[in-house]
Amino acid sequence: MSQLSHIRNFSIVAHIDHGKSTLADRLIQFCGGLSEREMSEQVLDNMDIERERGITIKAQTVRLSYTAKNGQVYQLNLMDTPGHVDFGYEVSRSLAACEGSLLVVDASQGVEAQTLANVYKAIDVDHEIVVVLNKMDLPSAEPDRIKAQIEEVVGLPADEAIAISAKTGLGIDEVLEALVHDLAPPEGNREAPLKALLVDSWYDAYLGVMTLVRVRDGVLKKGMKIRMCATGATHTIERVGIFGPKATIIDELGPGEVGFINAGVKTVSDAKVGDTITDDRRPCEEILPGFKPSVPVVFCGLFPIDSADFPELRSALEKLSLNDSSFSFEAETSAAIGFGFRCGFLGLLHMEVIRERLNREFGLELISTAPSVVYEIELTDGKVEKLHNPADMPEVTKINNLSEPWITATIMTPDEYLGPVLSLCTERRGEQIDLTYTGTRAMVVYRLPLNEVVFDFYDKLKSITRGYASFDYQIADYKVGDLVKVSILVNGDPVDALSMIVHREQAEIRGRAICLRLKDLIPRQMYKVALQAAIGGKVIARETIAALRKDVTAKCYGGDVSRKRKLLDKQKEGKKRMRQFGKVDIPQNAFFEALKMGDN
Amino acid sequence: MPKQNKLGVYIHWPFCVSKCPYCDFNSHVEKDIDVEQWEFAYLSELRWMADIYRQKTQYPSVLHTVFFGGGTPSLMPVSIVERILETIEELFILHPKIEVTVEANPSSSELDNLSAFKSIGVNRISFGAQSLNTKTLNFLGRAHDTRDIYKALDVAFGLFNQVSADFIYGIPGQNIGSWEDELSKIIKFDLTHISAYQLTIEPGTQFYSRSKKGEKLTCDDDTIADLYDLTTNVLSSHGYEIYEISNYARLNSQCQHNLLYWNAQDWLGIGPGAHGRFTMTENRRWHSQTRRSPDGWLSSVQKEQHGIEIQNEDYISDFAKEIIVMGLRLTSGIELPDWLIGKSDFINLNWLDEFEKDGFITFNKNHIRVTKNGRLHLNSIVSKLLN
Ligand SMILES: Nc1nc2c(ncn2[C@@H]2O[C@H](COP(=O)(O)OP(=O)(O)OP(=O)(O)O)[C@@H](O)[C@H]2O)c(=O)[nH]1
Ligand SMILES: C[S@@+](CC[C@H](N)C(=O)[O-])C[C@H]1O[C@@H](n2cnc3c(N)ncnc32)[C@H](O)[C@@H]1O
Ligand code: SF4
Ligand SMILES: [Mg+2]
Repeated sequence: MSQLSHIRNFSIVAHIDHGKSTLADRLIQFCGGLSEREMSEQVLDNMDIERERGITIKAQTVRLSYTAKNGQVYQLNLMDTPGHVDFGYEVSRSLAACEGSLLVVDASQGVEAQTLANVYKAIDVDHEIVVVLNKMDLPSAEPDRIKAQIEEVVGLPADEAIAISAKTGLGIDEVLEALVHDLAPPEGNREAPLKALLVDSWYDAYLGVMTLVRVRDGVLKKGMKIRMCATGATHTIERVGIFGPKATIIDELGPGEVGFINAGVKTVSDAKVGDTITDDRRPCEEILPGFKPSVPVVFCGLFPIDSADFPELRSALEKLSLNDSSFSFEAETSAAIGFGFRCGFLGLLHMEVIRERLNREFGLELISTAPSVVYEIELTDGKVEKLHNPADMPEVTKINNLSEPWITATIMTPDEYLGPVLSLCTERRGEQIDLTYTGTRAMVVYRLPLNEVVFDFYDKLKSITRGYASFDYQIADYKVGDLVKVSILVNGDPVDALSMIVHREQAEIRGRAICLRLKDLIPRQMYKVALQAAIGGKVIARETIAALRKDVTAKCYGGDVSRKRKLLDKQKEGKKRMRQFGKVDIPQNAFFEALKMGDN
Repeated sequence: MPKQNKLGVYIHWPFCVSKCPYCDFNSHVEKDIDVEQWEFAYLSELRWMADIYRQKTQYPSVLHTVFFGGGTPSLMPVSIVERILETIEELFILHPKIEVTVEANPSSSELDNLSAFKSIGVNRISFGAQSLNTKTLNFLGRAHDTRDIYKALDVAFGLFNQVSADFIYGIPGQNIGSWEDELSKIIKFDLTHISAYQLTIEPGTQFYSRSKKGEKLTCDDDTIADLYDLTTNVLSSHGYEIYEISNYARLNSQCQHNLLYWNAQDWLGIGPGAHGRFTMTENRRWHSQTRRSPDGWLSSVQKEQHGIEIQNEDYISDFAKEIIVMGLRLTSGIELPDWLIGKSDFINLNWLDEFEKDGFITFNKNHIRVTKNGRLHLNSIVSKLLN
């Protein structure tokens, strides 16, 4: 146990890829947390998908023991956070468990959208902030320009920013000294009733439900009976430990300390993130403020390509949700593409990550419907409902109005691309709030409807700025919009999985695009196929697939019958993958492909 | 006893002078063929098959047709053909109007054989002419030119009453005009029978790999449909009535042997990769298939007197399928047996109704027939009726 004055808790925050995890590696190494042999690059990014994509998805905590230049030994609790906007809630949680932040800025790239977003989160919770300029080993590093930029754009003094290279190890000792000297130690009272923040919980195959805690007052020890304030549930602590970064059992966690407990909690949902943990016998008087729950904002349907995989998909989703409580799922049936789940995510990257994990870790081949946002419908009877799936939209006559979520988006871009960026935002119904320059970089703040952003906005933004723009957003509010549901009809029958809610002005373009796509994907048939996009009963776009003129085998003699029969049997088998629309059978695959193309 | 089926014998000769790039038949280029061994093998398998036929059926073995197919059977040593025909005469009761066909390639080297074939009982010749257009013949990689065709047909007409020729159309660049030209030349021959096939890219052929690499080797489906209609109209106006998807005949000149296939009758398949079928009782059908590789077949026959690889009784559902798949190719359609139509598990009655309403088929009592409008949709029709 360390004295409060000898503890420092800090989060490493930055824009994506500015080197947080690599810096964590160096800090761990410097303090001897791992041997040379155990070390790997971004050692804290331990999920396969994190390693493969080189991104951090889950925040990680490590306790280090640092002997400072003054000879004193300090306990450092480091939290490496993700940079991507979808995982911003991980950052907020980590910040709540610390007194200070280590802001990393790439010395060539400078301040980007998530630099701002994350540093403001830190300032909001009154953190002291140590600023470092990373990647100084690169010839393109411009420390002076970036320092000026930090002062101007972020508003933090930067003359003392430490020039480092997480790659070569340059300046790591200075960083450690700064952490010890510039950050405030935690406060707390060992004698007061136990009060600890439940920072995170997840499922570990060996240790069961893990609960990451930050103790404010009192002590956590094995055998203690604790109470979760939100639920009132009580548990007995089986194990107390820390990550160094390997999980290590210790005797107790005192005030100011961060570590994990195992307390016989059955499921992750019983250990609510943000809850206050207290001593069941001597509870604390007030509870900690906790966190705003993370709510899924982007939804899509996930369907197994092989319908027999449905039960497996369910169990895979259940398993994944043990470690990631931020996505939701609910069974859904589509007449066009079968049984699946309607899933909610924190954003598009989160959606992609889950989809990829389902594929990689569970071998499931999936197809997803176009991402959509959560709409609010005010019904004529005054009720307000949330709509997660365009296919569930009530009849128009029952709807007073439809609201959609709007975001406040911050985009930073080299000024040469400003024109196209502004027109993109305008095209997507954006309303400009602010436009400022620092040097040759522009920062624009826009209000944008989220539904325009989940439809290929990132890709467009990236391509028009050759990857140089960065983007961050926060949900702002709901606003009534002139929104309509566009249904896609094949020979008059709606294809539920392809319906979408869009702004009236976009309806025709989007509807036509899907009809055209289907026209390419659906093979010509014996009968002609009508493809229509419609709002209610009104057709807004129409394409026709002309009937096939010839489908006959030219030669069929004695030896060919067997082959022909096999072909028929194969067709019969293939029929399971067909959906009937009037007199035509359409391969389910055409819908899969139409949806896949929507991804790109 | 149910109505007796007609019976035929198919003999497969698996050798050719060269391999055509579109061909997926069991045909091979082979210089050294041991005539004696092959003759012996054909005769012994023929006896073996005739035996099975007798064991499995109670019919008298009246034989209606013999068909030498290939490969290029016109290259067969006449002696083998002769011995086969002699053995057939010994094993079966020959129908007085028996049809004996040999498939021939119109290259000069084979013409000498034709009169010999005639003298041993062959009465029908089917030429693989393929085209009267030099460019098309080159595209198809044929070993003969148009002059060979004229010469061959000239010889054949002097010898046989029944002369047929095969043609292929639907190749890239072909259009109504050029095909009409060719058709008008074809008509001038005064053939008794014409087969006109749309070029099909078959797996395993040279054309197949080329098309997989992106080469376009057929013209588009819409054009083919136009060419098909043109073929049928032009030939019909010159006395060739379409009687099967790709087959046209003058009065009384339909190929009796091929009709056995389309009417789901009986035939024995002799030689490498030959299929055979015969009906044992009303709805029970026997099915045989021999080894495809010429060498493999030969050595099997030498060991066991036959080269059969598969022989079994077909599932009744497979028999039903075959009756429909083959029968609907005929313009006259077929009479469905009671066992087939009575049970809707073999045929989708909803689609039957639907197709009749749409004018794609006619259906009357047990008689079912695909109309002119339905003909080009036959694959879809069959697939929907059977699934
Ligand atoms: N040249 C150089 N490259 C660095 C340095 N620090 C990090 N990198 C590289 O930058 C990339 C991103 O590094 P990470 O440590 O994964 O960045 P991060 O900030 O943790 O990224 P997210 O967790 O996805 O937000 C990796 O390829 C690192 O090797 C540095 O000091 N110099
Ligand atoms: C048994 S085959 C071959 C007969 C003979 N060996 C010949 O090639 O002339 C009968 C006919 O089928 C046709 N045929 C073969 N392969 C074809 C293909 N890939 N597409 C269309 N017709 C084909 C040809 O017209 C051929 O004459
Ligand atoms: S001659 Fe006939 S059987 Fe022989 S390879 Fe050519 S098409 Fe095939
Ligand atoms: Mg990282």
